[in-house]
Amino acid sequence: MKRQLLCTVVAGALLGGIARGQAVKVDRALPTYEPVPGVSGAIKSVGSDTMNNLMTLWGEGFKKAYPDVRIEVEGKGSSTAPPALIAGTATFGPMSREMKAKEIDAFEKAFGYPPAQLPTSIDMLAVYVHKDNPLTGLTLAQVDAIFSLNRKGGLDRDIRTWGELGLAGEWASQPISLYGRNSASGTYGYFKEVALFGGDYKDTVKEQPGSSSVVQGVASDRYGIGYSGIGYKTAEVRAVSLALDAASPMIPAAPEHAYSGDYPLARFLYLYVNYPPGAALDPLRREFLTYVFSRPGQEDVLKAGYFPVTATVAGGALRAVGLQIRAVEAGAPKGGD
Amino acid sequence: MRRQRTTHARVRVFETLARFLITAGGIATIGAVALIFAFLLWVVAPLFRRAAIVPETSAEEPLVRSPGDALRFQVDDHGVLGAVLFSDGTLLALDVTNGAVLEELHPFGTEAGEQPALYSFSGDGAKSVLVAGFADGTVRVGAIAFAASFPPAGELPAAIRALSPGEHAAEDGGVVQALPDGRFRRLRVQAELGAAIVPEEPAPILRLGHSRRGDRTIACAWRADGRATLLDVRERPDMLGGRPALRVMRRELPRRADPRLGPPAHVVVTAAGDSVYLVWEDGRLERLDVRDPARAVLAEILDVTPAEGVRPTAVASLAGGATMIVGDSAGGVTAWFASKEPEAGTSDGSVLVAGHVLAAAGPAVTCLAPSPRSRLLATGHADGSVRLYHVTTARLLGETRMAAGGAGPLQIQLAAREDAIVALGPTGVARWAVDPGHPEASLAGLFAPVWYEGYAGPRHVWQSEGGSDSFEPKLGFVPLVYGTGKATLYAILFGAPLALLAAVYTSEFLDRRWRAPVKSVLEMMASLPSVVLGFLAALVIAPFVQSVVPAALAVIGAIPLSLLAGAHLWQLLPAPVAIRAGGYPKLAAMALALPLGILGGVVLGPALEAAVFAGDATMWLDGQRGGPLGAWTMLLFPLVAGAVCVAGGRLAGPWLRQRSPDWSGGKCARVALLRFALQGGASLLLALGLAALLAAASFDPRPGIVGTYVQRNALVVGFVMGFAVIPIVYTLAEDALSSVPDHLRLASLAAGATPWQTAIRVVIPTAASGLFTAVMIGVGRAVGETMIVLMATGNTPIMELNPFNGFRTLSANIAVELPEAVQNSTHYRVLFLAALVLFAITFVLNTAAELVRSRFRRRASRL
Repeated sequence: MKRQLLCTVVAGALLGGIARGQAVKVDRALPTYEPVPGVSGAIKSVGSDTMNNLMTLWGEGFKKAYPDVRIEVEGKGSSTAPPALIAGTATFGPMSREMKAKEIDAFEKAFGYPPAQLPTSIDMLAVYVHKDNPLTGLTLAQVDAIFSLNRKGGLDRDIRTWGELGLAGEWASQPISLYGRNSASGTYGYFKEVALFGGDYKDTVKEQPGSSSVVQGVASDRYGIGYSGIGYKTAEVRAVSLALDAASPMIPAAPEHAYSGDYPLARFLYLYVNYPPGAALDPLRREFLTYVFSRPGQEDVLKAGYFPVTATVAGGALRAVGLQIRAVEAGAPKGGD
Repeated sequence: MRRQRTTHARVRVFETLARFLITAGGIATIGAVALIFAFLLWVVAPLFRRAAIVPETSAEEPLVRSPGDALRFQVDDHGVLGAVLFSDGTLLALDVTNGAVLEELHPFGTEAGEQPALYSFSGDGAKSVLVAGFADGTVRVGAIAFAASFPPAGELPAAIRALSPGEHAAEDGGVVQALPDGRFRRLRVQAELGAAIVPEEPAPILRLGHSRRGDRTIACAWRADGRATLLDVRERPDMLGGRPALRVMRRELPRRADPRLGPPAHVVVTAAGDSVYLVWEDGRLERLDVRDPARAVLAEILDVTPAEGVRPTAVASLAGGATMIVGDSAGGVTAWFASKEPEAGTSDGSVLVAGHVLAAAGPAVTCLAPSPRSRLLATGHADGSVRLYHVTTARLLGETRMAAGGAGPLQIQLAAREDAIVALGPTGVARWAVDPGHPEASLAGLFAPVWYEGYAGPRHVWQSEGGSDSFEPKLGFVPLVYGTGKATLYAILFGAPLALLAAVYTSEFLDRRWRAPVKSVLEMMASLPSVVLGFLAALVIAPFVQSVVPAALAVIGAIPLSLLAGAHLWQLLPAPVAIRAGGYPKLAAMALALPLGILGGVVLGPALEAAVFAGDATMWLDGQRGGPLGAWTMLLFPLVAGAVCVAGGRLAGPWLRQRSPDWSGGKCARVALLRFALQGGASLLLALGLAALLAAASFDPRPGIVGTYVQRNALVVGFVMGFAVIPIVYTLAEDALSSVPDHLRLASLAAGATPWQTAIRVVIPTAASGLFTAVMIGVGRAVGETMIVLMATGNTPIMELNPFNGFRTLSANIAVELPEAVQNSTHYRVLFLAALVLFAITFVLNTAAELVRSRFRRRASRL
């Protein structure tokens, strides 16, 4: 998938910032944020539930610079972003998957141009089990056989019990209890595309309205398994290692593997913006995006449990809306664009 | 003082005003409900509108080259700019509305003639990917794209600036469209080709098929030497703007046994890259299982044409790359996909099936154009007709014809937005404006089982959205209606008896002073927000019940038994003691029976688990161990016990009544206890016998009546929803019972009946229709309940009776999916249809209840 490969490219573009095993740090090439005068108004974000905490952190950080700006974050699922952007009720549409061609069509029908897509941060979609569960790792084909009805991943047999995954003792004969997201969620769509190879979910997957309720469900169900963004991990659950196929190594959901592109379910988290090509963004949205792609903005990403993008990706994202990374001059960061 | 006989003017004014206000309020309420209904209808109605195909333009401009050499025809998303690729490698950009050639490109070389002859290619609409094979055996992966840009109006010539919105004109090798907001969009044909993939064997490539997923292309190339190669090409995009780097994996497919067959006519690769379909001119299809490209095997051989002599004339892959459409010379159009069938004995446990027959016979098919975004398919036929099908529901949506009589279209395209069909005929181009409507939402598609791609057979499925456009929406309504019914059933099963009995108790037996406070407290329960109940159910009750399944099941049986046993034991008390203790002590004793029942259940739980569930309830329910004998006994016991009670009353009742007048109270009580014990034992034996019969006939309640235990299940939800239903049923039932006139009660008591006999024989029959209404309104409440179901079930659209798994109701489904549904999309309208169905159910229930209630009121007032 494109998303995985993009992550690989991110690794290549890194300027020695992140090496294996090291704690993730924000790219030094990103500038700090300097407030500019003349910014006011209200920001409303409608979209991804995975990005709820992240949007809230950005909102808080932005409000520190501009106390008069009102910020409202609504996160019911990525699929709620395109309708809100089209209806004009949202300033930003955070999405944990790429927009579908049909959604872009609907947007283009309303405005004549496609929405601008900005990769803001990197998430690892984790497969969680209960903390007592001895399971170490799964291949994507096994994940598919656990969750999918029509098993496009290629395994011949359905996987219904923990024993079929090689667990012994009391686990062996216990049926696997499945937790997942509701269909509005980008996580639902991404997981379906990548982990289920485009197949269908079993109708026994219990659909939860939010990322945290999936984790909560697995935490309270000893024989449960579920998927959610890495930012929602708690001590009650464990993220299992994943392998692309039987021949590949098991990769734990650790940050270094997100950047290397080895982790099979690493993805970008996007902000979608209604930006007429060639026009100039209004100061409010311009400053918010500049903040998101600044050093403090990307530190918020770490706080939310996700991983920051590099200056290269940030520069590309800003160019998509006619902005650029503000030059950092030692000691005197400049405002303006 | 003289009494004033006329009404005061002020009173009259207020009375008129009040009457007017009340009338207006009533009419407004009815109007509001009618408006909601009308609005729902207004949103839902377009679902069943027919598709429209309107001829727009038809150009008889002959192309510079013989159109018969056209390998590939493609139109941009807006259906304005077309690109035709010819077999000599020339690519023409043309305006499909007038057939004017705008630009000539040579993507494979600088000039026509200098390049290697283009032997074969394949393309798919979605990403306009094209894989080209050449005479020297090289293969190149590329794309024909339509690049859009938005030039400032100032840079454009005056003639274009004068265009009104929606119009377009040729400019600089492409077209420029005027947009509604006053800006302009420039479209140009762009051909991009990746690096040449040099072969190991320099044999010319005769046939190619490919599929594309993300940036991975899997192509199968059939060479002139009768061998085939599988190429797995991954692109690694370069963020600095360079040409993408290719990573190629190449596998030779096994040599075919029969070389006399010659090259296949069509090669199709599935999107998952797990199968290659080779289709020969005579309809023979060979499916290769290439899940492991190093060990490709021939999975099966079949014939995709209906009869001898019928040739497949057009083959295309539907969006998503899992379904292959075959059009044949007899006019048949069939959708084929792999279906899991482990018993079939193929290498991958699947067989290729003709899931949908869109057309069985008719004019020969000349070309196929699947939509890149959905399951729509446009077909061109030899008699010049052009048809639009929806594949999932196998429906013909519309038909039209090429203007020039007779000749069939050579190439056809459905614009990506599904708003235009463009056909390239022998003499020119034609364009139709299309409005497919909402093809997924036919009545059959919503309510009948549908055979979805990759499934083992037709099924009712609800799975409305996927992560990409290739997803086949599954809009089966039946699981949702079933879930609504299941939720209601369990809620009423739990809530209605409790509420009705509580109402009988408070109105007939409870001290009058306590009646009002008890009623208020019960009504207070209704003010408990259902979201709180749902939260409790999901986070506290469901995990708790899961940890004590056998005990919970035992408790359900033990509480009624403990109450019945308690009542019989109370009878044993000497009459003076019983009368003296009739007040609070009796109430306390009753209250004690409840915890005793629970305790009994908890104590009996492990024994029950050992006896009925072979030692482990969850594993037994999952069908992994144990036989059905114990479970049948448990399931049949309540039914048998009821029957035994009735039979016992009929048979032994008169005999006992004849003798009992001579007996002392104590003896009566002892006989009653004995009878209770005997009936209980008899019921148990009878249930065991019946269960043994059923077990001997190898009927097993698993899976079916019961099945795998899931934490969020109907039992838990029924229990919690029962709480939501109890207040409303209780209030209405209590009202009905207390409106039974007191003179009936007094007459009954005066005639010597006990309060119990009065309640059962006089009051309840009189109030029966009122009680029925109460239950009906309770059902209406349960049908519409959303939050509890949403939070406490997994919202799993399953159709099973099993009380130990979840369900998805209409109302919860609307709450979950409406925020994501694009306004006026099929999904959006289908959700409104769900709302309409829900509205209809509650409307019918409440109206029926109200009719019964008003009849009851009239009857009660006459008593």
